[in-house]
Amino acid sequence: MLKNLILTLCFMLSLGVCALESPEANLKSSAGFVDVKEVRSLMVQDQGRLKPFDTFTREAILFIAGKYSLFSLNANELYLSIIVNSQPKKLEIVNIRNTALREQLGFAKDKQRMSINQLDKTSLFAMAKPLIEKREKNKRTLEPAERDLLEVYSQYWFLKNIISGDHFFSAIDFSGLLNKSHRDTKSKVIFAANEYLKALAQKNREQSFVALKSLKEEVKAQPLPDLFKPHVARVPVEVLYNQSKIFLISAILILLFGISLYFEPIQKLFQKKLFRSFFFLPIVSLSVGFALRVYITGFAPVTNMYGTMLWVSLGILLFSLFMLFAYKNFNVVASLWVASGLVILLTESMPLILSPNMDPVVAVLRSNLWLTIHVLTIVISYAAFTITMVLGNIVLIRNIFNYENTKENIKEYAKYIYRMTQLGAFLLAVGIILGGVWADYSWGRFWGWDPKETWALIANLGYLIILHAKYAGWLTPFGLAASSAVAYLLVIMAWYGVNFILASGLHSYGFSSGGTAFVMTFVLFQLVIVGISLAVRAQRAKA
Amino acid sequence: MKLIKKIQKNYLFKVFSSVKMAVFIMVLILIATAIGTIVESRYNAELASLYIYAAPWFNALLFLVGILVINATIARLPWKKRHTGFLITHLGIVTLLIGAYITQNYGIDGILQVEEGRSGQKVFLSERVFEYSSHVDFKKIYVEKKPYSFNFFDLRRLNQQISDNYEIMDYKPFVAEQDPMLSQIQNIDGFLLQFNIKSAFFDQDVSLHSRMRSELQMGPAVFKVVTEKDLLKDSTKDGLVKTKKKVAKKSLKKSKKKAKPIVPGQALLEIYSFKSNKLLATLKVSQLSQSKAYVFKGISLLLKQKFNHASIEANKIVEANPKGPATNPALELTISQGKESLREVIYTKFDGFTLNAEGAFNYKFKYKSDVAETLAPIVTHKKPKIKATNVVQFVVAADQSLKVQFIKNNKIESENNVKVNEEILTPWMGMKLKLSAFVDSQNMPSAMEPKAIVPKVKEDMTPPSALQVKVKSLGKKLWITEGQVKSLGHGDSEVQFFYGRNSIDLPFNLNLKKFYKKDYPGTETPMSFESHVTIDGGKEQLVISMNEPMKLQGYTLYQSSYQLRPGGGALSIFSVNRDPGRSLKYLGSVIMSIGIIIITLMKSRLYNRRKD
Repeated sequence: MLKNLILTLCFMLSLGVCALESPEANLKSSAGFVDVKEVRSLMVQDQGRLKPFDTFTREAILFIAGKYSLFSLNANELYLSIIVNSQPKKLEIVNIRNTALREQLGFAKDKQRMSINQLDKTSLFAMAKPLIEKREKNKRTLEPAERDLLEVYSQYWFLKNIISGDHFFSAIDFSGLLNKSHRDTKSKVIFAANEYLKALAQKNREQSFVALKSLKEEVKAQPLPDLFKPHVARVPVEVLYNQSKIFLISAILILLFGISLYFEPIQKLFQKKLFRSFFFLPIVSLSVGFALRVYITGFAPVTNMYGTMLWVSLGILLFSLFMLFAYKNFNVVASLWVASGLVILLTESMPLILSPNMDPVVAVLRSNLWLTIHVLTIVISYAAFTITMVLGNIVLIRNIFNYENTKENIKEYAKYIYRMTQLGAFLLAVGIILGGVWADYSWGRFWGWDPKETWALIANLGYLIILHAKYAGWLTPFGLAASSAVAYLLVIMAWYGVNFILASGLHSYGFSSGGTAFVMTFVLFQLVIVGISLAVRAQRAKA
Repeated sequence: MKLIKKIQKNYLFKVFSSVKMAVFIMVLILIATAIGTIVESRYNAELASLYIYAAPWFNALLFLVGILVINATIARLPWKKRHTGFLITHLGIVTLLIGAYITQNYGIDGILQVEEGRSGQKVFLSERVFEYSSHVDFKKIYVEKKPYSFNFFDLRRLNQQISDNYEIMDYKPFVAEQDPMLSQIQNIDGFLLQFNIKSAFFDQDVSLHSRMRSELQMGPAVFKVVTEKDLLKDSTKDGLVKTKKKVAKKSLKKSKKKAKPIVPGQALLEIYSFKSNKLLATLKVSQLSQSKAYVFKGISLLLKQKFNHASIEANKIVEANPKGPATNPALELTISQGKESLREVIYTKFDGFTLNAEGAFNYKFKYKSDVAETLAPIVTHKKPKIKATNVVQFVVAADQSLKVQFIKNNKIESENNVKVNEEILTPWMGMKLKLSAFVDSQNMPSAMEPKAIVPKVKEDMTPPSALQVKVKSLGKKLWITEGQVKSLGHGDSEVQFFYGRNSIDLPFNLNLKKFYKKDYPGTETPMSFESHVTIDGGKEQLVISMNEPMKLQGYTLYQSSYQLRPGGGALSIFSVNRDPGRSLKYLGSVIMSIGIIIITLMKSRLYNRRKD
């Protein structure tokens, strides 16, 4: 009797333990059975192109969780184990970026991620409903906080879609590609996918291995639209591209090489040709990264902020090498390389704001030649302006701390700044004109006062003002340095502000949000530096 | 040369050729355009263009740039070798500016919309035009839309004489959209009332008309306008019904004057040749049936449905009023020839509303309903659905004075005399009522002044503008809002006015055969869209697609956007462009670029070293 009772108790207890196992632990234990190496190259369709499962899950997890990996699981593992999890609605995954919104929904301010169940208990739906109507009426009237709320709302539904498996099934099933209205829910692919998920849920390693293999075959056996056929070969390349983290590696190389250039022994070694050619390594790796992106997407990396940031950092490298050969000033070049490396690091660290996705572009961007040339020209001019900004700031900061603050030094830097401003202003002018040519070709007018083109013109005017003011004798070398730092704010507005702050006009394909706080901090910081430096200089002149 | 030396010494010339002035002007343009982009972001592109980019003062700034650039070259006479780059660059800028000027003043940039299966040649431009036409003359007058409130910037001349008879008196840059009823009531007897009601929850302008719209329900209150005459008759309980009958009779009388005699029960279907417009046959609708096809010269006709009041709901044609008067009679047919068949809906009153615009099988049809002439009463004197409502009743006395009664549960609670612009507080609900107009609708046009408003933030559409015109011969003034057609006077002295976007006709007719939108597979994102068109009914099909414009007779047509309508054909939107300044702008760009390259090269170390 007693024995029985104990046995029952034990049984109950073990059940309890089972139930007590947290959903996260359950997640981790099933993730162990995901064969990442195999599954990441699974071919899926999403957002109008074929992509590897790796990219597909990275994008999905990034959207929901704000990170590529969570609970020390990578996107592939996380995605699949969410589907097969026994209590997926308890997983705290949904990332709420806006801290005020967290409090508004009744969460602690520092609690970053919520589960479906937790969100169900909030007033999210009641709050989202009028906003959806508002968005349908006029998208532009949404406030940033309202947009954030709607984002959480879509993150919620996105996660639900993943949990139900619909997101996965519609990605591996290609029948909708050829015939929109018709989707076969009992197809072989769906069956194979179900088998695979079943095996994962049962934590059966061998069976899951076999099921995955047959799933991959079934996916490949499906007919494809002609447009997608060339994508098939690109899928494994994209996996490689994702895994290589080529831009991150390039950034680190650039930083290392840049810092090393500050040291005299390295500068001396630089006389040797063999050593010098070594410095092309980061440029090569950056270029390879570009080439991979161009191969995968089929268009130049100029259609989003991410691509242009990388392009600018490459431009800085190239221009600084040119400066090195012309002026032989190693310290300047070292600083520029560090700046270039930091630009890439910055770009890579904010995937939510500067989305690296490679999905197809809107119709108007499909004319490739003029678009590519005009954007590349404009953006490369930003690289020249970035150089003037960096050099200008060096002069300003040196002035504040009175370090190497001689007249000759400032004059030397002012010379570089002047040349780079000339180069930038020329390239920007040509870029604007080429943009006019493209607009004329695509939209039927050369110039239309669209905010993007207008701001490019404003930036160009800003630098033309500097050049003319220098000619008129209004700007001292120090003044040139200070004004180049200020004028760069115009570039930031033209480059980032139009798409992220103004968000209007015909160039509406690059629009996004976020990062405003970061940029504003930069702007403020820049103005403070200029202000302090000018004040210090005035004080010194008095004394 | 002496003259040049003299000019160069002139103080004003020195100022307007100096680099400092150039810097100053550039700063001004920089600030102005930056503000322009902010205006565009807060409001819309049209407003930014009106206030800044297309504004006369901004054009003056650009003109000044041109002057400065030219002066700067003159100031450096006689030119030396080192001026080469500078001269070429500035020549480029001047060429560019001249090109831009030509584009702005002699170019055409408009919108052409064509529906699938139809043709079009009317291009709408952004400039405004005022037109009047009477039986003696017709004239178009261009009115630039200038929303400046102070006259220094306002180049529009008020009190502008258009002809001996007409004068533009006033202008409002932004006015509220008008109640469509207002343009219909000009020739209908009755009184028009316009008032504003304001409470904590709403602020609304309301128009009532004693004949056209005598009653309006807003929330828990009903607003009415009645004449004292009507009220006297209303002593019996069916007063409302009586009014209704009377008006119905009256309108019937009116319409009967024009009506052609139609034998009741003899609804007719006429078959015409599509090409020659010749009447081929007249059938009785009773000859058609829903089961057995009526065969006529190779086509067979099947009756699907007969409508008394056809109404489109959720893209379907439905009978809205099966037993009531036939306000919109229509016939739905299935027409087939061999294996091909199509659906056709023929409306008695709206000839153009055919589904068969291309004239399939080379026929077109007209439907003459037997019930078409029994018009529905215009007045909608329905009993309020909510019992015991609050009623605000305006009563027009025989001497045309106005009073307002506040009625609750059929009891008059208070009664006041009202005058225009007087504010009255309602005894219940705490609403403020302000009468803005009270006129005999015969005097309508002159009395109705559109309400000036301020454009809303983040609204894509700019509100319309309005003009006031005086017609001397009639001694009347008239307000006309953008996009409106209005008329004044009767018979031979009638004059029609139009104020709105100017349009031109292309020298050719564009027929949109088919519109294609291709999406990226598996998504709703358009990959490309294109229109297949023919010109002047020709056979050759041309394709206009995004990034692939069509050039014809000096015009360039771009695929700019589209609208897909559920159930209907697509609407393709082209941007039509003629740009005589194009070549100059390109030339200027090239010259300027070459100039900058020369400047950079001549200042470069390499060049200077070679010189040394």
